[in-house]
Amino acid sequence: MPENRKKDATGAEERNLLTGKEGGSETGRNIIDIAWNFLSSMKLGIVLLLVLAAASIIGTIWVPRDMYGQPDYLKFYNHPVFNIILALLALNILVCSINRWKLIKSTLGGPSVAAAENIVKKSGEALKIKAEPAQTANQVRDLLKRKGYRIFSSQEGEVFKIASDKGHLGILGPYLTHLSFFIMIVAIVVKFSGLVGFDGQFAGWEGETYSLGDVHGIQNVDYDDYFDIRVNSFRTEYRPDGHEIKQWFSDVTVIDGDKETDFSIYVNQPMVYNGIKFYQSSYGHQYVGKYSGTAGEDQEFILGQGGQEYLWDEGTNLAFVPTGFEDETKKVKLQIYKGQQIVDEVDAVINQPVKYENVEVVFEGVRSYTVLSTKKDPGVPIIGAGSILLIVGVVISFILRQRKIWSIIRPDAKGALVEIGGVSAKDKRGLDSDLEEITAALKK
Amino acid sequence: MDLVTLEQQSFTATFVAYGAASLIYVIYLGYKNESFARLGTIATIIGLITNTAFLVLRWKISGHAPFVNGYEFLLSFTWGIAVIYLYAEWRYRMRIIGAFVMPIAWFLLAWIAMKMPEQARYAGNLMPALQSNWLTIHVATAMVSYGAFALSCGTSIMYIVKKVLEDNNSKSSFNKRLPSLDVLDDMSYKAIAIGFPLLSAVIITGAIWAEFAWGRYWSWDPKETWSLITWLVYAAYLHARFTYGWRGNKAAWMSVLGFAFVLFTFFGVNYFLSGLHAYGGL
Ligand code: HEM
Repeated sequence: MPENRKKDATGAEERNLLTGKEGGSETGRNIIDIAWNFLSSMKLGIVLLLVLAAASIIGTIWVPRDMYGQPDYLKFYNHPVFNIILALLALNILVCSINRWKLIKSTLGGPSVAAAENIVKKSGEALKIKAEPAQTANQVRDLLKRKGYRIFSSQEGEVFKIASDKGHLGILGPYLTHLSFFIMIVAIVVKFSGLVGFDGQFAGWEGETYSLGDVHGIQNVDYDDYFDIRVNSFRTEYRPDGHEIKQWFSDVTVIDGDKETDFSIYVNQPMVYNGIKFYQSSYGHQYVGKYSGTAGEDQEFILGQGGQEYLWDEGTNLAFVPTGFEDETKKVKLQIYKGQQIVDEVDAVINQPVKYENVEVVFEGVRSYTVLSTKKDPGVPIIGAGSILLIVGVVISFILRQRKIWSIIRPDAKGALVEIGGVSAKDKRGLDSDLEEITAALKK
Repeated sequence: MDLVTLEQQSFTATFVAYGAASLIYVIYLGYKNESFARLGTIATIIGLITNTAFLVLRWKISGHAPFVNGYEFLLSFTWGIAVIYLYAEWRYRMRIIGAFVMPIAWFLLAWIAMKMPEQARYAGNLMPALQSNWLTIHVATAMVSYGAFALSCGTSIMYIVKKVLEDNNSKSSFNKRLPSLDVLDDMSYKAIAIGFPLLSAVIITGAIWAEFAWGRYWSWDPKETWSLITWLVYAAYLHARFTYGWRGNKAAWMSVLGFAFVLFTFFGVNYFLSGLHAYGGL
């Protein structure tokens, strides 16, 4: 492979020597080369970022729907085309990072003294100082050190060359950020491959005990890790106004061999056991009681799960619709309809009759079931670690901005001639103010 | 006086103060008088105080951090803009930026005042899914982040204006009083350098909250997706800047575009896209 390959636009991305494996035909190597260059180009990176943004926009406007007409965003974002864009971006980032490794190593190693001539010629400023070159060189080093620069110097006779930099660790920032992005994409792809973990659902009546095998969709869980769950109660807590729901609780006991552990699961407070998480997701009630309507004699009813949705009295055209149950006060929230019109909302206390027109309703018991979403996702800690890495990387790359200053000090008729100049990709103004202060101090 | 009245009055006071500040700064563009411009700073500070008072009162009234409905988001957003702006004014000692940043805060409030129905403003109870400290951190970071992006947008607009004037060899005093192109470019980038890490934190804390509430750190809900899109646009800005040397004009336009995405994430998603859902469901 030719060593003099053109660098990327800025020269920042040096070609990686790792790919220059011996062997293979000339054309074979060229293809690898072309592919590698394509994958490591920043242009591809920016294009992919924008394509990803554009594709994401489309997915929020043109929303696929499920069989109930609800938006099903995942249908779009789990589409292979979208995943190919993500995978290409991950690959691009990986290749870029490998390519940049040499640059990183040399940056961490420090600026090269040999580059001094070039830089000061291009961006330097010359000052005449009335002092010995050696003394001046010391002064320059001192000023730089006080500003937090690392110093690398060489001396040939009475000519001193000083390379210095600060904020060099900043170069690790983007590196960590890119690595974190790669890690997260991998975790997501692994999750959607279905090879680890699962997304499931569990529904259980109060008072019953269930095995983990009753969880709908359970997968990739070792049989030895199975346990039983007893649903002790499902509770709805209302706010003092009696209308707004404050929280839903599922009190459960995990029975794992001889060990019993109690959990209270509520929204924003999942239970985690053996790596499986249970989230409060939904619920339902079964109401039993009696009613006497225009037909006369008492009749029993079962509403909710396992029965009708509401109680209807033919003679009066009244419908009684239970909408919830407050556990603390033992009140059934009841809506009363006349035809299509809602005519009253009452709280029916258990075993106390509610009368409307000629209809009397008594709720005698309420039994609840809870619906928990369950999942196991070994990718979550990886995503977590990736997120921390991302933040650390981003913060580092913005806080530590590398500045490099080179100076050459040589003897001059009246003392010393100092040539000083520098570069900074990200903080030109910071660099300029450092240079200004240093030259001002030298002139004194 | 009860807390609710006090809260409403602090909204009005904030609205008036930001409006006055915007007006003073804009007049200052053509009328160079430092002690007059100082009134703009004073008005901004008063607005920030009453804005803070609004948020504190709202917190007291509702019993939770005031980060739950659109009204509260907006007042948090304007708070972020005012804080970041005052920091920039103090840091760069330039009041002229105010003419390009404070009107953003004022327009946002004017928009609420005109558009938002009365009942959308009430302090409400938290539904169970919103009862999370992560949500509080999430929105608190968002308001500073968005404030920084607003500052970047304002200074980018200044850049674009100044560039046109320079290209036309304008000798107007207005042109002379705008900071140099270099300074504007630098300010705009530095604001993004504050906003971008915070936006990353916003997305991550949002994901943590979603993981606790629903067991899904990412579900491609439109709001989530749009915050990612915004983040990608700023990531593209940073890459274009550092690897292609896209500074100056191109960078300025990208920063303005980025802020348009911020605004869309903030309002557009609720007003256009979720509207779509509501109709789609019928
Ligand atoms: C979503 C994906 C990406 C994110 C979040 C990301 C993030 C970042 C961040 C935060 C920086 C630092 C900017 C600064 O210091 O101001 C950066 C720099 C950089 N990124 Fe990325 N990046 C992504 C994708 C890529 C890709 C695909 C490539 C390669 C093709 C790439 C190559 C670079 C390079 C070369 C730099 C400059 C490093 C430097 O200035 O020292 N990035 N990136």
